[in-house]
Amino acid sequence: MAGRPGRKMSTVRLLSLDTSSVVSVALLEVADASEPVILSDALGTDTHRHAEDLVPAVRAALAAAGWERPDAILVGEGPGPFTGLRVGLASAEVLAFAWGVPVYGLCSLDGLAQQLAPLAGGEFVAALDARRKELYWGRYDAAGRPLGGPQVGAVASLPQGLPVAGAGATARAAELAEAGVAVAPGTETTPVSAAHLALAWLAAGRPEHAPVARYLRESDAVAPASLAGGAK
Amino acid sequence: MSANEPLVLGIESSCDETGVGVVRGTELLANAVASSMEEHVRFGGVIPEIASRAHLEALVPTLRQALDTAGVTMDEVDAIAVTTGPGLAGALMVGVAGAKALSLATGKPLYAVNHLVAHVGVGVLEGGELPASLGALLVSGGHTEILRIGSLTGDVELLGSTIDDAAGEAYDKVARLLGLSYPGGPVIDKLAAEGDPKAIRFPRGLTLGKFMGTAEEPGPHRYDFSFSGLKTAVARYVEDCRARGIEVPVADVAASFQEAVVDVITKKAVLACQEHGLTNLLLGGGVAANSRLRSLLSARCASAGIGLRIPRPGLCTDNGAMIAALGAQLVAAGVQPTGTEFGTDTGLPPSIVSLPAA
Repeated sequence: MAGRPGRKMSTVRLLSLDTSSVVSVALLEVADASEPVILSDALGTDTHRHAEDLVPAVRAALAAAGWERPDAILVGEGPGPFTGLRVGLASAEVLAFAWGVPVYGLCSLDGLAQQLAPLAGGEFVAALDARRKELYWGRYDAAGRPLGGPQVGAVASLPQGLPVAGAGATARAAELAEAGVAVAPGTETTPVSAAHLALAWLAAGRPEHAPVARYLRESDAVAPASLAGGAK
Repeated sequence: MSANEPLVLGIESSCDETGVGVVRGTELLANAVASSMEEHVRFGGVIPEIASRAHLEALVPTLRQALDTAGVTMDEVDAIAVTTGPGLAGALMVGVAGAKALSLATGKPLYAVNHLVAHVGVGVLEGGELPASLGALLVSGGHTEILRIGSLTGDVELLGSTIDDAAGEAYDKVARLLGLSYPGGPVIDKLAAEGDPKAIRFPRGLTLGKFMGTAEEPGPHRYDFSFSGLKTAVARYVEDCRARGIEVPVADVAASFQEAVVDVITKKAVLACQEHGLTNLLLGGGVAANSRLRSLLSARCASAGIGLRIPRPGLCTDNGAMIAALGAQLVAAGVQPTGTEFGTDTGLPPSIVSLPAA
């Protein structure tokens, strides 16, 4: 097909996946000269079945689109609960290795912000549940472009005066209400969608960096006093 | 593919070793292992989150290394096998996710296999087919079990196991009590060589009559182990020395502790073999490298007329080759693959050799 006039020469078939909240898998056709086409966008509902559900979801999406393999893979780097997050990253990296295609990473909150910016109506905070009464959050402009973050912290750590959007709003509903933080209506239960992660990646100019897990927290291990070199 | 010599790639991530192995039938082609052990030293034990993060970092490099070493491509591989349990949940999840992705991308069938049975299955890589009438003693930082192996691919029975700490875990804890480094096994083994194993009579867990019963009427823990009381006894002894201002006789404590562990493990393993008519025993797990365990088990097996098989140390510790070896046995036996819809099982019993298709 190379060189044949009239074909979309630079069309890239992109597999996007994210496991920072639920299992999300999307396929897109991305051409330089036209709007990206979202062929499929599957969003799970369970936040504890990433290892079980992700690969079957990718298989189903590829089969439905009739693709043997994509040309590139995009994966959400989190932040998100560690175990589920790693399922997405490990899968994306091994798929890329086995198919011989490139894999890129993007902050998952960028995808959430890309989706919710129209509902936020101005600068806002995109937030996901970080458990332990905290949120993973990032600050975004009215178009969903990142201004700061990602970070993890309690509601008190959020930037003052900005509405919160995303599934984190439901997870910390009581704390947000108590602190008088506004929630962007209609966004409260929205998890990260792989399709919007891909749109955020395109909007950012297709950054080609290798995925790195965004844990934001230490591994919580504390050296026993007897091994801590005498330090109390 | 040759029906009896399938080419299988195995992935292991149940604890702190990321292993990828490649096996053709009973021939070992590659055994790539990346360990996060060094990162756990300052904590005196494996920290699951640290291990899980290390697995993610190491997974693709280890996979690449194994294929390079074996000199094969994924196209040539007949099947993939992965540890699905028992083990640490977050750690298992990395290997399982990677194995499923590999299966999807290559179209190769995937077997979700039992880590414990794979410690036995690795025996085929040295000396070929395992003897019929086989027992297995698995001793590591996470496990202490006696198994009866009727068939590697379909008949495995748990005869006994620890009811609290694993033997290797007891070594780590006692090493910490004595101010020694992690992991405790090698350092205690070395020190014990300079000490008197009879200096202190530490307790042998679950050896009283009420736990043992008789061959005809077995007690509740005839083939089971307990090491937490032993650890407490060592702690009391050390505290007592310090309270009395006496220097702790570290070498004697190490030797006496090691003797207590090894005495009860070997005695019960031989007893289980005798009472189940098993004439062969395979020793596996990281603690199989322990010199006193090897020598006492060899002596006791020899007296009881039991043939003993101990794979080389690199195959006894956690690795991907053992997963591949078991996978190859399953393929050769015509067992159906698991598919890609399964989850991990941190408490998978050894009676389940591989998960059935969903």
